[in-house]
Amino acid sequence: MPPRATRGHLVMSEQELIAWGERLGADSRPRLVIALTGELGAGKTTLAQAICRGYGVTTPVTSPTYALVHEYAAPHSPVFHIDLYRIERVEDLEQIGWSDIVASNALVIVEWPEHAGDLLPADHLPIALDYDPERADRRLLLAG
Amino acid sequence: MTRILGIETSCDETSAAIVDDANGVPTLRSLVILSQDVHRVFGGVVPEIASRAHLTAIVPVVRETVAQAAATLSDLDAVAVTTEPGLVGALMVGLNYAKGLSLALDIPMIAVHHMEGHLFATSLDDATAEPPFTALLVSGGHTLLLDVPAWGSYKLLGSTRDDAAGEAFDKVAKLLGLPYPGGRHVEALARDGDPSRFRFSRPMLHRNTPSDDSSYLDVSFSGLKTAVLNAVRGSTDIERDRADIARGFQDALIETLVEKTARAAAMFHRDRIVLGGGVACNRTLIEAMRARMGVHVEVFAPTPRLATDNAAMIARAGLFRYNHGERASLDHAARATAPLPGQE
Repeated sequence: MPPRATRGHLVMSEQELIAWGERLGADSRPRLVIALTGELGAGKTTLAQAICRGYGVTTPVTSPTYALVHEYAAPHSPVFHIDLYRIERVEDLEQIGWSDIVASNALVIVEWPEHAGDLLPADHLPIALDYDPERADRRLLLAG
Repeated sequence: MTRILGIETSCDETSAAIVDDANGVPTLRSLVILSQDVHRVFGGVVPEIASRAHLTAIVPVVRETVAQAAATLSDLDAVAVTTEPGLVGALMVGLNYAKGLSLALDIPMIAVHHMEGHLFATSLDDATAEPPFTALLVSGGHTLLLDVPAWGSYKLLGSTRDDAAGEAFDKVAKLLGLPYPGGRHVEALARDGDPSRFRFSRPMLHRNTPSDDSSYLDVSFSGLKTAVLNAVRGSTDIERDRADIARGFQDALIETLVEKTARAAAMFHRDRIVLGGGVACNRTLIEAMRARMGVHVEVFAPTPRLATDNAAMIARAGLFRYNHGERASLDHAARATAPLPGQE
């Protein structure tokens, strides 16, 4: 697990979330599976983009919702950005090469990991994003 | 005369079409599109179900297409097939079928990029929708702004930084409790909405952005989706607010797309704009584009069946590639992602 992943809830603005993600990305080494949970609009794509940037991805990181998997090159290893939003049955995971991807020497960022059920590797780094009920422009982050 | 069969299975439509150039103008002779309605239940595409459904549908869909064109398989000069981008398992169904036809009929196979197909779609409705033009391709998986000086020559000007336009419609539809796919439901709801109640900020549309900054032509819809979510969560009476939120969202998205397209057209002095992709079915978008461009710029939008995924556009793009002597080998592979051919 990366050294600076903080335990406990962090209350963050969007800029703080981006800075946190970039630092996590910079500290990450393969093989690492990051599981990002949170509702639509909670900030998962924003955080995934920041992690990728910190890890050294220089090409634009866009939503993988329709393509399901996006792959990027980075200095330490490839990055797989996966969105399981539209995957309803774990049997369908193999259609996107799931077991090969999560076993590979890569940084794997999974949105909607709850759709992977038992096939989510046990050693993943969980990160949960939620809304701050007090302020619409803040997010709550729970990592590790 | 050249008669081409097109095949499209990149996502959740199994489609075949025949295009020929009998009168010197590429003409659509028949088109069959089988949509996988099963996905409505799931709110999206399920890859394994998509592949299996294509497998079941491809033979009857091609047979019906050939019959509707009053032709036989032996009348075909070539088979054009979508090979990229898309779900690989789904693409492979169409590709392998095309390889089989190519071998059995001893005709060439032409590999077509799905997004190049969308660029050609409108020209089947109106043959004057040809380059040079500015193209805006907007669908569930793509948001691309291109300059097209000539067929086969594409300059990518801008794209989405996060969510595609159609994806934004689908996700906002979900937030508003509307069915999938969400585009036409949001548009219908927005028609009754009050435009003044929810005014969301226009992403990446600052007046003073220099034209050499990449945000001048790129778009971003993730923040807009979050703004909609905050409005939904902040609403005390969502039944009362739904239409107004839909209106505010659609106005913001459309104004962004229209303004970026206007910038691109002005930059290259184009007097034609061609729309493509499922979001190009949105009448409000087409009307806003026409209103913004005025009388000196012609805006072409495909009919709905040619806007969404279809094989007619694949046959049409295939005809172009065929006439340029392109032939795909039988070991040609499907790819999930790929830049447009001839893209700079």
